[in-house]
Amino acid sequence: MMSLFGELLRSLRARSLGPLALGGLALVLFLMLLALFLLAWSGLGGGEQGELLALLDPQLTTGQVDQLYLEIREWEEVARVEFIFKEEVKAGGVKLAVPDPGTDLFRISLHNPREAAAVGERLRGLAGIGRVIASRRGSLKEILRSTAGMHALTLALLIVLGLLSLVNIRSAIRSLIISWRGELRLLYLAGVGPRGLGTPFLLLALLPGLGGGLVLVLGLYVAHLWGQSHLEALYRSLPALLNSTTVLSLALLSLGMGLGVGLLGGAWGLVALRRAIRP
Amino acid sequence: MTLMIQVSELSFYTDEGRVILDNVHLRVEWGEWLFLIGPPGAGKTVFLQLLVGELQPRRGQILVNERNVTRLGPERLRQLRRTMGIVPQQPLVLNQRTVMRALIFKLRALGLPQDEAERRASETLEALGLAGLASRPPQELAPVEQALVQIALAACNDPILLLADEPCRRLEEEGTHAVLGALDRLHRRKRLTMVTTAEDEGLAAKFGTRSVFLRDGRLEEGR
Repeated sequence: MMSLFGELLRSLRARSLGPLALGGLALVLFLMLLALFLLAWSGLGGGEQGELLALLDPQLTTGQVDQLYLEIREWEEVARVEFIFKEEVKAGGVKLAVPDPGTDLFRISLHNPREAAAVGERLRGLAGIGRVIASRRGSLKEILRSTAGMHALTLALLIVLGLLSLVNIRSAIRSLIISWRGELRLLYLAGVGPRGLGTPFLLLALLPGLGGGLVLVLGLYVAHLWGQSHLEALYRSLPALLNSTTVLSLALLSLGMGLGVGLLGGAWGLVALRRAIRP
Repeated sequence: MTLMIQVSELSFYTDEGRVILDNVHLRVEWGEWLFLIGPPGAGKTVFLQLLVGELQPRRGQILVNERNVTRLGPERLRQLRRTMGIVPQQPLVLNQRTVMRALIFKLRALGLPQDEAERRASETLEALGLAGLASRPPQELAPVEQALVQIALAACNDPILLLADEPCRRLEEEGTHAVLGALDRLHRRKRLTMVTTAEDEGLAAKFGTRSVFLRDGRLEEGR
């Protein structure tokens, strides 16, 4: 079976590489869009409009923290202030998109999200506040979650890209089977069963799925790493990307989906096999 | 002598009810070369397809090497086919491969290691007088050479039974003799049991082998 698979790979250049590559590309786009959509809809907190995270100076004493807390709570724009220990976030006890803030922090909810910028500026002016991370209108997350039209568009794109990759993988496998008709008939007559003949084609169909899945896994990993050093920017756009567990789950899901689409396209293409081995 | 093929009360007819084989009996012994002669459409190809289990008869039994083909499951049937060499009437077109690589391809797919596959492929080509054409693609060869390549493909895995469906089809007299001569050498060298179909009843006589005639669904022993 592996020798047959090797032969198939070698004959790819001349035959079905085009549709197979196109199928792989469509699959990468499909998985990217799906990952973005899932990230935007992730149940993680943070990044909501009108919410600010104020990271505290680690040198602050308990008394100073209390004083800051009481001061901020009195601001009329502020609806709620919540003190969060850094350990709580790290241990996952508090669902916050910043996986490891490094310091204790205040989560501040505002009455009016439009005042986030002004309140953020005011917070930065306070002694003992290290960094302020604020969400803003127009972030990627908000755009993706905003309207029913956007949902429909995303869904339609997902369907088109999914179908495009399925059809291309299927057509690559089908054309490969047709051009291998003589070889398949020869092996069938020599006692190789349909399963033995079909498996190498199925393995081949898995390649764009595996490739697409791995590209996404790599992309998510890089985005996650980049997010660690650009905490604020990412928190504003896709906070779920900062959470290791979410990223890992999404990576595994992408890989599984990629392999699934490859398998489905391959199985669809294999319908041609029965006709190819018959006289 | 032991029987390689034993066919009894074999009947086959199409879904439309056209009778192809009607209560056919046949015995082929080990190491025998049998010619199955008949006009076009007589059912020669169907008969071979029944022997390899590609078609199921309406009635009757087919024993090949003591195994009942009509009752074998798919896996057992595949095992039996591994002991057969089949030259189909429609030549197999293997793309972008030289003669040698085509043979090695088949042997490797059947699980032979590369060096063993190369050795067997060389031996087969030598036996059929094709050694000089090993590095050429079959499509570039003369029709008679292409017919020999089809036989080499069927015979390279050392089968005990070779079924050749009109291997001399569309060949001139000279080509027909070359192909049958090669089959004769293979038959003598390996004591191979062979069933060859043909339209010309004079062919069997030239090679001194037994022949049977298929006419109107019935088999008649030749002269």
